[in-house]
Amino acid sequence: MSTHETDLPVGHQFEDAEQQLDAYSAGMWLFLVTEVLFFGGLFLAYIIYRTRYTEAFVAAHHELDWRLGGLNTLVLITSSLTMALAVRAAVIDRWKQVIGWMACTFVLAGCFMVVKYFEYSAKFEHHLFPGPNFQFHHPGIDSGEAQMFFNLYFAMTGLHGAHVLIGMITMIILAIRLYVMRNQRVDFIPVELAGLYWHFVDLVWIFLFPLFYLVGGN
Amino acid sequence: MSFEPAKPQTYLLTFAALIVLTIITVLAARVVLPKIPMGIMVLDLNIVLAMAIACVKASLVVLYFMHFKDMGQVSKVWASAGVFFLLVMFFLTLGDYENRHPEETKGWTESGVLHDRRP
Amino acid sequence: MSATATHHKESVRVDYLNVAHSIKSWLVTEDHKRIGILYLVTISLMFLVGGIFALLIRLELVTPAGDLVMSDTYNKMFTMHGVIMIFFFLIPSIPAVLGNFCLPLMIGARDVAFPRLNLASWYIFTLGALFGVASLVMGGVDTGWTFYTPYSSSFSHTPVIMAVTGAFIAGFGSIFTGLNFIVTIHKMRAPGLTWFRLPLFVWGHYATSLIMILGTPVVAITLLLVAVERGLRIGIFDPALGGDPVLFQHLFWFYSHPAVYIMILPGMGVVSELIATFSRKRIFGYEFVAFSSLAIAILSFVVWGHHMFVSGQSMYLSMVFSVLTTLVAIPSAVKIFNWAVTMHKGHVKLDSPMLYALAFMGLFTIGGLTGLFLSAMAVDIHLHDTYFVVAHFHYVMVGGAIVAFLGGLHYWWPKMTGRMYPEPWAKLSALVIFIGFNLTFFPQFILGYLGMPRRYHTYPDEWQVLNVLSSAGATILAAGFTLVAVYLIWSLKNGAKAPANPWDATGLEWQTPSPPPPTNFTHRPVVTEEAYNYPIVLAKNGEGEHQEEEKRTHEHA
Ligand code: HEM
Ligand SMILES: [Cu+2]
Repeated sequence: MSTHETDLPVGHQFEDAEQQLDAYSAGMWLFLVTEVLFFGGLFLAYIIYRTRYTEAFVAAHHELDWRLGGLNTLVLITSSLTMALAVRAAVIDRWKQVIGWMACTFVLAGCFMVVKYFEYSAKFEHHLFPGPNFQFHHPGIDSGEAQMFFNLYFAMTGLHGAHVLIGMITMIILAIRLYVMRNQRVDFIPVELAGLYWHFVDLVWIFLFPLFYLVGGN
Repeated sequence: MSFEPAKPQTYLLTFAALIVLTIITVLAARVVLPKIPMGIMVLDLNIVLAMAIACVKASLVVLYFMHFKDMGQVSKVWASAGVFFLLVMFFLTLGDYENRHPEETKGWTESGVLHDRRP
Repeated sequence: MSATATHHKESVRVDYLNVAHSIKSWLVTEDHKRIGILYLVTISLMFLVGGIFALLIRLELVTPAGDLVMSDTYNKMFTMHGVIMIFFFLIPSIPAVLGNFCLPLMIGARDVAFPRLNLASWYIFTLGALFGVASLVMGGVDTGWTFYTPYSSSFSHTPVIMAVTGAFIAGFGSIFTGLNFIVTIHKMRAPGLTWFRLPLFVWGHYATSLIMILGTPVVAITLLLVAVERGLRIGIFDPALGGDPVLFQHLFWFYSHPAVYIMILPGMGVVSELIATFSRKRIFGYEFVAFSSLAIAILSFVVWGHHMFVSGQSMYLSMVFSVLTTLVAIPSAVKIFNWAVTMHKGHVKLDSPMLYALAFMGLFTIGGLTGLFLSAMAVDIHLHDTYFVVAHFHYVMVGGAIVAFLGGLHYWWPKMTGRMYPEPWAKLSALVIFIGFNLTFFPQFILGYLGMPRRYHTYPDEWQVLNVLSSAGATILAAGFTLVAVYLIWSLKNGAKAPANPWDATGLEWQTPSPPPPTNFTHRPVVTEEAYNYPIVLAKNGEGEHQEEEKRTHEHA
C-alpha cells in the first residue's frame, strides 16, 4: 500500500483507507463488467445482421464519413490520455492539475458530441433515420436490409453518446467537489473511478469505429 | 493493492500506440480481403482483421490507462469473467444461426416479408 | 453473549429500530437492516397484487367456459401476474430482504460496502415497481411475462413500454444489490472469517450476485430495444423491419434462465442454514454445497436454449442445450443429497422454519425432476407451453423459492423484529401452505400431460375436475399466506421478546442482540472456527447429549 491514501476520510463501514480503496475499485470494475454485457447484446445483434446482410451493410456504410469517425476516434483517445493524467495528478495530490486535465477531457468530450451532432443531423436530412421516412436507394440493395444498418448505428452510437454525456456531467460534479475541498488532500478515489469509466467509454468506441465506418470491401 | 502513479511517459507511449493503430485500421480497411461463406452466414476477413486491431487497442487501454495490473484479484477475475460470459453468449447464439437449416429461415430474406409487411 | 446480559440493559439499549422513528429516518437510511425492511414492505405489497391476479386466474378456470372475463382480459391477468411475481417480487425477495439484512451480520461487518448504493437500489427498484403498477392502471399488458416480439413490439395494444421500462429500471436495482454483495463478501469479512468458514447462505448469495451482475444487463438492453422498437420503430426483432424475433428469445433467455437461479440459489442458501441449525450439525460436505452454488450459477448461463426447442432454433443447437440442461441437475442434486445426509443422525428439531426447509427439499426435488423431463427435447415438444411447464416452474418458484423465503423469514424474524411469532400458528400455516400448494399445482402436471395448453381461459369439459381441484388448492394456499401475514404483523406488538439467539444457532448474526444495534456489533467479531460448529452429540440420550443440555442451561442461567 502506498502512503497516499492514509490521510483520506474513511467511511464508517470500512476499517481503514486501504479496504475502502479496494472496495471502490472492485465495485467500479464490477460495474464496468455489467456495462460490457449491456453493450454486448447490441454487439451480438450487430454480428448477426452484419453477416446476414453483408452487401447491404457495405453499401449503407458508405453513407457514413469515415473521416469524421476517425477524427472522433482520435478525439476520444486523446481524452483518455488527459483523463489518465488527471487521475495521476489526483494521486500525487495536485488539485489544480486535476481540474486542468479534467477540463481538457471535458472539452474533448464536447468536441466528440459536436461532431456526432453534425453526423446525426446529416443522416436525418438524408432520410437515413430508420422509420417511415427512411429512404435508401442503391441498385441491388434491399432498403430494409440497409435500414438494419442504421437501426444498429443509431442504437449503438446513441447509447455510447449517452455514456459520453454522463461522463461529462460526472466531470463537472467532480471538478466542483475538488474545488470546494481544495484545502484537503485530493480525494483521488472518485477521480480514479471516473477515469475507469471514461476509459471504458473510449474502449467501446474503439470497437464501434471500425464496425460502422470501416465495414470494408470498398 | 498499490497505487503508485505511473510515469507520464507510459501514458504518452500508450497514446502514441493507439494513434498508430487507429491509422493502421483505417488503412487495413482499404485492402479487400476475401469473404468466407459459413453456414448461412458470410465471414468477412476485413472485419476479423479490424476486430483484431480493436482488441489490441482495447488491451492497451485496459492495461495502461486503466492500469489493470495494479488492480486487485477481484477486479481481475471479474473483468475476465465478464468477457468470458460475453463470449459464451456470442458463441452459443451464433451456433444457432450457423446451423439453422437454410429452409428454416428462408422466409427471412427471400420471401418478400421484408417489403410487403412494412407499414 | 448471553441472553440475560442483554436483558438487564434492555430498557436503554439502542437498536436499529428504535434509534429513530420518523418516516424520514427510514427514507434516508443507509443501514442495510432498515433497507432490508423497506424491501420487505415493497415486495409484500407486490406479492399481494400478484396474488390477487393468481386468484382471479384460478377463479376463471373453475369452469371450462370463459365466463368470468373476456379472453383479452384473461391475457392481461396472467401477464400482470407473471410480470409482478417475477420481476417485482421473486427476484428481489430473498437477496434484497434476507440477504440485505443478514449478509453483513453474518460476515461480521458494520454494513455493506456501499450503503448509499444500497439505498439507491431500493429507490430504483421501487420506481420500477411503480412503472409496473402504472402499466396495470393503464389497463394492463397482455404479452405474457416473456414479452415475446414481434407481438410485444408491434402488435399488442397495451402499455408494453411502461411495463418493460419498469422491468428495465428494477433490473438496475438488482445489479446494484449484486455488485454490493460481491464487494462486501470479498472485502468486508471479519478477521478470521475465511471463505470456507462462511455460512452457506453467503455462498449462495455470492453465486446469485454473479448472475445478477452478468445476466441482468443483457435483459436490460433487450427490454430497452423492445421499447425503442415499439416507440420509434427502430427495430431489430420485428421481421417486418428485417429483424429476427428468435434473437429476442436468445437475449431474453440468456438472462431469464439464469434469473430462475437468482430466485432459487438464495433459497438454497437459506435452507442450508435451516438444516444445519435444526439438525445441530455441520452441513455434510460443506465444500461441495458451497461450490455447487457456483457451479449452478455458471452452468445456468449455458442452458437457455431449452426454452426455445420449438421456436425455430437450430435443431443441432437444441441438442447441445438439451444435454447441457441435464448437467444443471447434478449440482442441484448434490445439495439435496448433502442436506439429507446432514439430517441423518442429526438431532432434528421440527420448529416451523425447519418445516419449510423440509417442504423445500421435497417440492424442489419434484420441480427439478420435472425440469429434467422438459430438458429432453422430444418430451418437450409435447409438453412445451402446456400446464406441465406451469406446474414445473411453480414447483421450483413457489415450492422452492417462496417456501425458502418463508422459512428464512421465520428463522430471522426474531432477529429482525426482536419478537417471537406464535409457533403453533406458524406450524399450522406451514402445513396449510404445503397442502394448498400441492393441491394447486400437482393436478397441473396431469393437465399438462393430457395436453392442456397454458395461457387460455377456456378448456374442454373433461378437464374440469382437475381444474377445480387446482382452484380449490389455490384458495387454501392463499389462506395459508394470509395466516402468515396476520400473525407476523400481530407479533410485531404482541409477540414475546426475542432473545439474542432463540434457536441456539451458530453464526455471527446470533451473537449480537435482537434486534441488532445500528452498527451491528459493539466489538468487531473475530472468527476462530468453521461455520456450524455444533457440539458433537455422541449417542441418542447418551452422555454427550446430556453434556450439551447442561452447557446450554448454563449459558442461559
Ligand atoms: C434442475 C433444474 C431445472 C431444469 C432441468 C429445468 C428445465 C426447464 C425446461 C426444459 C423448461 C422449458 C419448458 C418449456 O417451456 O417447454 C423450463 C421452464 C421453466 N423453468 Fe425450469 N428447470 C430447472 C429449474 C428451474 C428453477 C430452479 C426455476 C425457478 C426458480 C425454473 C423456472 C422455470 C420457468 C419460470 C420456466 C418457464 C418459463 C416460461 O416459459 O414462462 N426452472 N425449465
Ligand atoms: Cu430455463
